[in-house]
Amino acid sequence: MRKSDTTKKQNDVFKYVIGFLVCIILTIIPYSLVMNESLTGGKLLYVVLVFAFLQLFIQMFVFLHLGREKKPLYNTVFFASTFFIILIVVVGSIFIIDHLHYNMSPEDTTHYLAQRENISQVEGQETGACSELRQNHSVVIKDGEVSPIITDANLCDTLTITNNDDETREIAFGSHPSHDSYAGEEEISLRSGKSETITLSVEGTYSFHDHLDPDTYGYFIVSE
Amino acid sequence: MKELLLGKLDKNALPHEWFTIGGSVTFILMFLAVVAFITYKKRWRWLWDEWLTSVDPKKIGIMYFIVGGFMLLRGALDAVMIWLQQSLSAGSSHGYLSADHFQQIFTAHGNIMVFFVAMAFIFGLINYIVPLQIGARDLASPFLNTLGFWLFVAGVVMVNMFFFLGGEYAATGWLAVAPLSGTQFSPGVGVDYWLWSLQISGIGTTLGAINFIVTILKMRAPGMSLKKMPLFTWGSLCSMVMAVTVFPLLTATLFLLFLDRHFGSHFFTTDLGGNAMMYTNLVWMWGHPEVYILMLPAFGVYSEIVSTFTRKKIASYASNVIGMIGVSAFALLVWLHHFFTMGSGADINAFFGLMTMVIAVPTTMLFINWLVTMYRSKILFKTPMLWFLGFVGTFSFGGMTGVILAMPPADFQLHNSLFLVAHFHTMTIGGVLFGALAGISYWFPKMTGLRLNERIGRYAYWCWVSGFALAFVPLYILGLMGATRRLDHYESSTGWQPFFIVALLGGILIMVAIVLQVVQVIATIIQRKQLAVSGDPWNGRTLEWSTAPVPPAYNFAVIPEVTGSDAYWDIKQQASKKVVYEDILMPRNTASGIYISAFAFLTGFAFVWHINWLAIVSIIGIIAVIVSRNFDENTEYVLSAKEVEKIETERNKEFASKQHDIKKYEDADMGLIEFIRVVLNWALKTVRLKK
Amino acid sequence: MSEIKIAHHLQHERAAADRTLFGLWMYIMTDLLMFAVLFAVYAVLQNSTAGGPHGHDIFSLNFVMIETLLLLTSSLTCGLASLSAKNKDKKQLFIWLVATFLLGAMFLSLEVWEFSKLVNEGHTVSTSAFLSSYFALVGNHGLHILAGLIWIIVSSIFIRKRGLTHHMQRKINAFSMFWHFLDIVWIFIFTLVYLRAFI
Repeated sequence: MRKSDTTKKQNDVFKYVIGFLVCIILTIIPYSLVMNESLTGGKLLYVVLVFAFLQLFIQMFVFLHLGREKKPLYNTVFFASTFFIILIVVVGSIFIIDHLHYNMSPEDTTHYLAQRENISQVEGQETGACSELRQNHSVVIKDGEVSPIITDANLCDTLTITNNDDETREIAFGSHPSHDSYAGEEEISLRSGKSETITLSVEGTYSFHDHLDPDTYGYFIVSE
Repeated sequence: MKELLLGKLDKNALPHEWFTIGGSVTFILMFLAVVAFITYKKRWRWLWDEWLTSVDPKKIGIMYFIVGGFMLLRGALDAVMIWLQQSLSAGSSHGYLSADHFQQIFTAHGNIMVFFVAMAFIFGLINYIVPLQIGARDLASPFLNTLGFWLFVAGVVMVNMFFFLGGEYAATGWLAVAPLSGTQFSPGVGVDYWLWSLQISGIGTTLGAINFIVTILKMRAPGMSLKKMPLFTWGSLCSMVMAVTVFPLLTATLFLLFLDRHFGSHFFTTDLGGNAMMYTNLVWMWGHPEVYILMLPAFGVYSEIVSTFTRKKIASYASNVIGMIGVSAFALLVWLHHFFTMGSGADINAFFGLMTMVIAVPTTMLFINWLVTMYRSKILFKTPMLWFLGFVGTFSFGGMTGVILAMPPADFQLHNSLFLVAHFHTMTIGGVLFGALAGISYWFPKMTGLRLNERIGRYAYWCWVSGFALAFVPLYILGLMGATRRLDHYESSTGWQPFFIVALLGGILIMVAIVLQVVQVIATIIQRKQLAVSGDPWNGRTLEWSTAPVPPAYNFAVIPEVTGSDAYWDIKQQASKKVVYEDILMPRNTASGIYISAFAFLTGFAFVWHINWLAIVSIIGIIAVIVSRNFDENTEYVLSAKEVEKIETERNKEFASKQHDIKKYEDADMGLIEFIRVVLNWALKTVRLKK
Repeated sequence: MSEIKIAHHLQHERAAADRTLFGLWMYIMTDLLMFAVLFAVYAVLQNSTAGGPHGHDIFSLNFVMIETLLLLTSSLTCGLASLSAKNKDKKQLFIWLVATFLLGAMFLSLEVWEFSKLVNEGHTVSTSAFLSSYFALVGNHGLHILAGLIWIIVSSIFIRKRGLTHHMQRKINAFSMFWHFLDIVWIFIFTLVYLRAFI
């Protein structure tokens, strides 16, 4: 009798320790994936979320004994319904606010959003969105220098800015510190090694600089 | 130094407007009158021991009714002020209220009616009746029950506190939409009072909902499976599951607004990244299910009443339950219909519009159930049944206007118009209030041992129904004519004034109805000898009717065994068995609920006035009382079998002979004229005695 | 006769314990829903930095990993504590409770240090909507941890004074449910706040 009692106790402890170790692994993997940057963007986010949900279920089953209560399984039912309500609250809010943001943004942001979705006309009015993109121009920031410092482009060309320095650069348009936005683009945050492409959909001459280091600046001229 | 001690409190906070002086004087006089009366009757000990510290859900239920009834008068006064202002304030006249004051009035009216009247009546009914219906002695946690009640009271005090200190309430509408409710646009203490009264009572509601769910799921009498539960208990279960789901959302949202106002954060501000639309989104995620939380128990009441007064089992128990669950489930998926016009675009609006219209389907299942139950039955037209019939007409009409509003294109015209106001008043008055009144008149004999005066009850009912029609049909028409809600003044060229005046007449008729209801209760008390009834005055079908009126603290001497749904009906058909009494474990009264709520009130008050030391001390106080309650192991006592037997024998003797013929119930009731005669006689006698 | 009474009493105790733990489970569901709102708000406002810093500017993933490992380990020691309570081993129970407390306290101190560093650098709750949501979400979790720590202290005093009764076992189970759920919320803070900032 006593022996099976002790083995039962050992089993319980064993279960907890194994569960704990699995959770450690399920934490370290997403951490290293993010640090590694082998995956990026949307794909990485989904993978990391999968690990989070896996760990959630391990913890629910091992530590909180989900499903092992006496019948009827009220705890499980309430957890399942709470889970779904949380999804409704979080996903619903993101969905709704995203739509609101799209529809209720100020004019130049609407311009930029129309750009992203290739909408060239709304209610008979031209949005100014570029239906056809043309040439791509590349600008590289290295050692605090922007090269080329002036870019000559045509309307609806694209401009790619790459940050080859070690520090993060926050690219803003207009003069420092009171920035302007360009065609709805506000600030572009470029971490070391990253690049972003913007569509040159508005004519004129514009300057941009690193908000964190205003001596790093450049120009681009957009003509018809 | 003074700021450290008193925060933002100063001389200006004391009452100095006509309404704050009037309000505080009235409250103080009422309070003094009550204190004087209790002292004169030497009932302080009794009040504390028997009622205030009681954990008996029946007593707590009655206390909910009393506080709720009192707040109904306060909210009705707000309504009268609104009706008056809107009938007077056309063209060159600007009524008698300033715009800001008017805004505070309609905000207070909404808050009080939803949180402190409707929720109070619902909680009162569930507290009293559900344990009796499921054959339980008490709720799962008697302590949480009293705590929930006193947190609710703390909220009531908080919502009225501005009369004494501060002088202003929120002027933002009942949900205090951002950014109007932020510090930039509402710098005063009004919104803070609003916030803390809802936060404190909201936490009480969440704890109460948890309590009810655990009770219903875990404490039913043996043999009562979920499929055999009475329908009022089902309605309460669905309602409380919704409450436990959405009140935390409100708590979190109010917490964020508090952070904005108190710590300068930027959740809902107009600058530095705040998104006020998120507030609207979050608050309606709570707000829409809230109205169904109020409605589901009312649906349960109606199911009970239809079944009892048609002397039939409900037509289809299963579809009734499915209808209730369906309404609850869909209620969580429709909240955006409150802000179609905020701009989320056609696809999102379409989804939520469709979901809103779909709610009509389970609701219709319930209606068909009730109507089929009534078909080919002998209906007893007692007051509870009258309230149900009034509900059928009113609620279905209001529901149809709801389907109109559910269509985004129509809603773009009708959003925030008086059409909307008429719609939600139809639903809350025709649905929730009529349900509460139906429930109270139905279970009044159980709670007091007296049958309510039927005659005056009928007069009150007809005044309510016609008053309601007169007050709100003009509002539907005004809404279609383009009248916006919350207007304190309008141009006479709109031609709206006659409609507002008709609405005011309807309001006066409603006030008459309320007065008649007070008269009804007084007349019942005057005729208490003739109106005394047994434990089963309506020939009921569910377990609560098996006890004597004003059931003893332990509800049932012996927990009954249940065989079918309509449990008591089955028991009545069988021969009565010999009763074997046992010891009963009863919970002790406790004042911990009062103490925690007092500290909670002080915490909120401290945050309103930025009195930091008081906030810290009060929070520590809350923790201290909780810890000391934890250490208290002496929370129950034993009622011996002998004592139980004694109580039961006394009660059965008192109430055994009171079975009357239901059909002859009205003959003994006094009418209005006789009531006036009795009151005049009493008044003259008192005056003569004094001489 | 008294045997039946004792059996009745035990049955009553067990039923009462079952109800208490179910009630606490429901409470934890409501707490999860409150966190859901804070998560939703963070998700919506995380990019509203008003020209100020983004997450990847102010978070240190390594630091957060240490915090996460501390909290995960405290979850293990908490589970072992509830096992000791089940086995009526008072000495073991105290060891594991103290371990949970220390790990939780270390976690909280690291978090407080992280917050004060940010505030000293000028990144406060009123700097931007992003920072407001960050402090609200992570700060709220920290407040819950603090409540848990107070709970451990109170429980320990209770066990010292009254011994390891059935009543006390129920309380330890309740506490461990609460503590585990705090770690579960942390998984999502770790993922959706800290990891997310670097994706």
